Amino acid sequence: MSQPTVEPLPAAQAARPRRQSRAQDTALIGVFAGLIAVLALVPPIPVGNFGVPITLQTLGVALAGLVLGPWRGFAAAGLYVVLGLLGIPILANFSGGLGVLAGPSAGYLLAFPLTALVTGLVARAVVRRKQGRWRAPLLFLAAITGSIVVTHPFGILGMSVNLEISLREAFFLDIVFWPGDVVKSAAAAAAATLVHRAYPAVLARR
Amino acid sequence: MRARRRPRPLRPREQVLGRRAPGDGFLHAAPAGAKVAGLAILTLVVVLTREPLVNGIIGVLILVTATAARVPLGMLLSLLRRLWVLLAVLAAVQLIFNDPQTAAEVLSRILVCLLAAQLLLLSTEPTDVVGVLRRILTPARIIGVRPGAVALAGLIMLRSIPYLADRFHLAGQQARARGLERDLRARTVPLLLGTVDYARDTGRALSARGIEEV
Repeated sequence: MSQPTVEPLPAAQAARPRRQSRAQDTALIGVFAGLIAVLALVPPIPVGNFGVPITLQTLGVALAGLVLGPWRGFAAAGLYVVLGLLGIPILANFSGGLGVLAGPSAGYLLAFPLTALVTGLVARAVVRRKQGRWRAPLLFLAAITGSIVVTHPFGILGMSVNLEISLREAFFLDIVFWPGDVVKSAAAAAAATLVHRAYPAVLARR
Repeated sequence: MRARRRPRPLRPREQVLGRRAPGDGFLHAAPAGAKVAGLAILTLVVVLTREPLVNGIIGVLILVTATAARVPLGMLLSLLRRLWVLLAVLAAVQLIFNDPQTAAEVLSRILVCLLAAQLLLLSTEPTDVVGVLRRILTPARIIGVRPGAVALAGLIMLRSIPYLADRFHLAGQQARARGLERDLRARTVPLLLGTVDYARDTGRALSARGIEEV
């Protein structure tokens, strides 16, 4: 239960608190975890399929970082991955449970929280400093950075370990995902730019 | 045209996470935490031993367990129908890069782990899984994690999934009506705006009630 406050807030401050409430953050984290889940569960986009299913899953992860910033983005992606691994069928193909860690996509999955973190760090810096027409391209850069620096190295490592192939061979399998990644990062950046214009309070004015 | 004037009724929602096996066998009755722990041990054993023979034995054990717990084998094995493309590609990759012995081990390992996980999914309620996460996080209180808040976020996630799935479906129909069904932006922007809206409404409702944890 919430305890009574020591002294009532002035009306203006109560109406528009300077910091968003903890409940608001919890809601954003939970709903964005739901967004990642929904994008992972919808039928995959028709791009070549090489062991790891190509879904819109990474789009959801990029959006979590771009819209929520580093820490809440990390929390949203982390919540999604952990609940999926504990046994809610929200991972790609309606799978779930720790058994997924033996499969080919384990590396990609485990990378998601860190991807959102890295993307969010860049995105927060961009949103705070840049407005107008440079924002979208820079947010695209944020999304693609997270993907290149975290998702793909982890994914390649995961395939190499679980499929018992060399890193070189895993790298070649991973190349298939690059074009889709560029497309998804661009879409995520465009959408996130809109969100920051429509709801500056979500990240810019924090 | 009358349908236009009044708000359209909600489509009956596809039960996004509703793939539970009906039944009251011992797997359904077992506490979710025990099942998660069992799956963890099984996965660990399979991943560490890397023996096709061990995988085969465990595979048989899984089928026996499913029968004993009265989980329909058809629901368990429908996994193969959903994943056969993935499995075929994996088999091809293995035959190209590895010898048959390794290929058998890799394929059987992935199959056994996925089947075991499927058995857990078919017999466990998602909300119980959130409870398991909350219990796992209890020791993390020391480093400032609030398990109650994490569990609340997990429940919010479960609640938002059917709504967001509807939103995605709707955005797809709207995009198709404009001839943009292959346009990723047209399909995702309405979903994202809906997501932020839904989160803010949920946050306001929680703040108004002073709920921060469950």
